[in-house]
Amino acid sequence: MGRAPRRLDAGQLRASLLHATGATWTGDRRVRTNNDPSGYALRPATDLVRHYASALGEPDYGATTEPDLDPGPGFLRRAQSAAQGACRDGLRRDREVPAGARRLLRAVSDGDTYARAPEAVRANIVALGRTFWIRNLSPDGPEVEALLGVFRAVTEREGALPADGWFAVCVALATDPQFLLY
Amino acid sequence: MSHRARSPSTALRPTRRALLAGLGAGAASAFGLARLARADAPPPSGTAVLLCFFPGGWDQLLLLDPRDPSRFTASEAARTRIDPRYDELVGLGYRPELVRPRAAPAMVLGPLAERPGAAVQLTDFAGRMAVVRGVDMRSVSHEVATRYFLTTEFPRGSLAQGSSVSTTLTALARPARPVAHLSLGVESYNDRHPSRWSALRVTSADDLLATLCPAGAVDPVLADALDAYAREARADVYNRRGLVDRLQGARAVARGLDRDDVSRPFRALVDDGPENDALRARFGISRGDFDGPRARAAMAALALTSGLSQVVIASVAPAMDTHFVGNAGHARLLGEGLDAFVALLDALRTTAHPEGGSHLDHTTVLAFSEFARTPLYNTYGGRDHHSAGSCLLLGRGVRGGVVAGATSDVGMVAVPWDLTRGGASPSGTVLTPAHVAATVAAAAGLDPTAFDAPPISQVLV
Repeated sequence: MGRAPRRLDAGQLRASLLHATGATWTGDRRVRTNNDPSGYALRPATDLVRHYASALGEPDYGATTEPDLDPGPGFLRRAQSAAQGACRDGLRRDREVPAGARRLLRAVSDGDTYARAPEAVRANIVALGRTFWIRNLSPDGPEVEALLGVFRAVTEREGALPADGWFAVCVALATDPQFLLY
Repeated sequence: MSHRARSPSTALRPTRRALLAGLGAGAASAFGLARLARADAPPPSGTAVLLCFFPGGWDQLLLLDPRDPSRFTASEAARTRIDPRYDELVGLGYRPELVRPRAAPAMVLGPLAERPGAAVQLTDFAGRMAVVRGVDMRSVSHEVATRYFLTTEFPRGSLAQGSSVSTTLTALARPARPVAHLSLGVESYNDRHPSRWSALRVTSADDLLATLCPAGAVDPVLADALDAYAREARADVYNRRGLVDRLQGARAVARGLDRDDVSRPFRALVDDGPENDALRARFGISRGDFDGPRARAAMAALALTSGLSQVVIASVAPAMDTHFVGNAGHARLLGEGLDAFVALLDALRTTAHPEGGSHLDHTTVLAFSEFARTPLYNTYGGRDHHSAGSCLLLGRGVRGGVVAGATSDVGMVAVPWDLTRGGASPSGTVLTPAHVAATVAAAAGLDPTAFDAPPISQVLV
């Protein structure tokens, strides 16, 4: 690598999550208003990566013109929240689109557990590695084993669904240094 | 998909959560928020540090480095290069004269030290407050001077060099707090310390709550699985500049926040109810204001008194870069910042510290701006940027009623200061942000040699 590594800025984080999961981090945002005695209103379905862009280090071009790209606790905390929001919405989206258009459930069907379809689960993790990290992971390599460990820990308990496991794998991938740094 | 509803063992969350949910008991009770108070709050320990930033360049003539208007008259301004114009403040209710606090006879302040109609005044703290004048900022660029003061290292171009003073102070103090170092709307840098001492940087109450609250993975099995994965996650190819190490250090802070819900005292900032009313009344926060200077001052007070943080840096004023308005326009903005700052000091002064005394007795406070404003008006009737700055220290370790450093009576240029005996001296040293940072460190009982200048001994107890 010929340049110094750095972390994703806010715009890159948003674009990367959208590419990998098909969704971004959205939620309610508090905005000031004179029309409510509380002084504020909740604006639903706000793009929260953009809302927190300043806290994610974007310059405001008033006081600062340089981005703050420190991978500190503030960035990581929001990256974790962004990953959870995008993964949750991405899985919901996957259940609503044809199999060929899915981003997270690429090589598995909704009901595939590791016990029932171990090769499909491994293949899906490999496919996700390609999408999230732009790398071809070995199906038997340590990274797939680690992600498989996350999937199994979450799904191999009473009442758990495979979707819970894919949510966990998605968050693990999207908060890994390989996703947040480049 | 809801992990929260189906979790079989949510009731088995670690007891530390319950224990630390009591954070803020002292703060809450002192703010009149009895319903927030808990008996099981762990006592904060160690000296706290509070750095209050007034962005945009404050006018030293109005507050910390005034001139007698009977001597520095408009007719003399061509010679003195100083024109206070305090008479322009009369319409805002200020007296157009110098303020001499009773508790600090040697200290002379500008008219804004006594806010018209304010119940608590900055001068109420004069007996425990020191003023440092004539700090040479070497720049009249906002970005450059701000980063110079924040780090004490002169920026390369406009790029900050070194670590923030607040980061270095945190690394020296090594506090065992959920968020050791909190930044409320101020840039923060760390190029040499472990990332657990980096600031958690937030810009609003919503942002703070979203950052403190568990990020959603409340299902303990899911949280443990992600935690175990993240502990092992490496990508050495990206670690040439220690980025992966810093990300992993940040993860340790995040794990603590997931484990211990420390957000409780801060909910009063946004949740309607008597706690919210009390907090808004105390700090003068208007409804719907979650990110203004007063809201940030309230967050800073809560962070320190609840034990969330030991080092807090906060932007407590609106931007004051007033080139095109005169004293009255600048005074409105600076006055708003001073109201927030004084409310913050009052909250610390009236909140009992578990180790005795008030929180202000256990906190070293610095108020600063990136530079000052020109002592003469420009052709637009305002003041431009001026590099001889001033700042204010108070609280733990600070000798009250003291003025150190000086500016000249012609053009207000920073003059050399005798660091050993005090007083202006041609053989002395021109004060820099490093002197101020070392003084804050020494006052807080930390090692001042972390900075490239000695502390200003006259300011220290």
